[in-house]
Amino acid sequence: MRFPVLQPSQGVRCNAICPGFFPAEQNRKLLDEQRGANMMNGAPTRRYGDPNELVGAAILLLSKKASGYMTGSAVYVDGGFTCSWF
Amino acid sequence: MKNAEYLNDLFGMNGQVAVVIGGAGALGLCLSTGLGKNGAKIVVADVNPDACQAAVDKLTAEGIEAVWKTVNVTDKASLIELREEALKLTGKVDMLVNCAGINVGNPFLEVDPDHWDKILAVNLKGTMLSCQVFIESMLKNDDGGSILNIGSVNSDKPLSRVFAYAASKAGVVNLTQNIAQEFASQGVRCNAICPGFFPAEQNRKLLDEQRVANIMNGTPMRRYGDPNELVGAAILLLSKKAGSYMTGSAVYVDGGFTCSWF
Repeated sequence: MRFPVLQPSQGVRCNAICPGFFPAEQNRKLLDEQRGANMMNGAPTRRYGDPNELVGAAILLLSKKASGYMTGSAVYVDGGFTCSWF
Repeated sequence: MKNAEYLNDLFGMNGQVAVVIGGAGALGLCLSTGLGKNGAKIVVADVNPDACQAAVDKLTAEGIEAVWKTVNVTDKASLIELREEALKLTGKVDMLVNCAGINVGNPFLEVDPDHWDKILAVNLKGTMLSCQVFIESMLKNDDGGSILNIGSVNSDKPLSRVFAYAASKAGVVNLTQNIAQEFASQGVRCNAICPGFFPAEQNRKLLDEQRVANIMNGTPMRRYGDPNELVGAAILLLSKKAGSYMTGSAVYVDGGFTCSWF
């Protein structure tokens, strides 16, 4: 029995970074006291991220060699926010 | 700042120490080499002394500072001995990589209970015990520490025939997440890499013609991974600066296998 192989890969990779809480102009208005407290309680690292902390993951996902076998990945940079309930 | 300086500042591990459990195996040695070339000193830990020595010889030949110690990951006393020896030789453990893993494939009704116990013990309990033992010392570091556990595409959904392995790898990611939340505010991070298909001794027997076709059809990149392709993600997750806001993450390095149906 032959097992047909679908069309070959075309060499374009596509990945995503999923940031946690990084205060910026677009979200500052939403950050009232209760929302800020909920975020801090939900993020195990108990702090906001710094935008510079996204750069490492961006370099990894975009680099031809370092992430040559990564595509369709969603990489969470969120201080642990999505990793558990409590 | 020039390119090399910038990358070294962001990802570099100069002067840091990584304990790689399972470091004499194909994947473990690859990661040890990558971390070592990135500046880390390596403590290779594995069950077979000859394999450990061979691994350290290879690392040393590449200019990497490395030592070795045997370990039984299912035995907490053995892990404590490893930790104490690592601390004696290097002074401080910054990173832990849990690479020890075993696998057996069978139809479900033929799963041997003893094989089940052994696979869960090495893959999941061993990961838990080593994290327990090394987090104790990392909590005493001024700058904390970082752990990398090895999950699998099985951590997402199981592959057929590898019941114990799949359950253990799902457990490894869940454990990684729970350890991450427990210690995040205390300076210890814990993440996982979930590799796709990287043929190695432990899975070669399972790769019959149909399974290979299923793998290739299910992997958008239409090829196996090379263990060196795990190094970049490992360096990101372990590095103090580049991975500083990452904990509890499971990073899939799988050629796209888990990202879609077809």
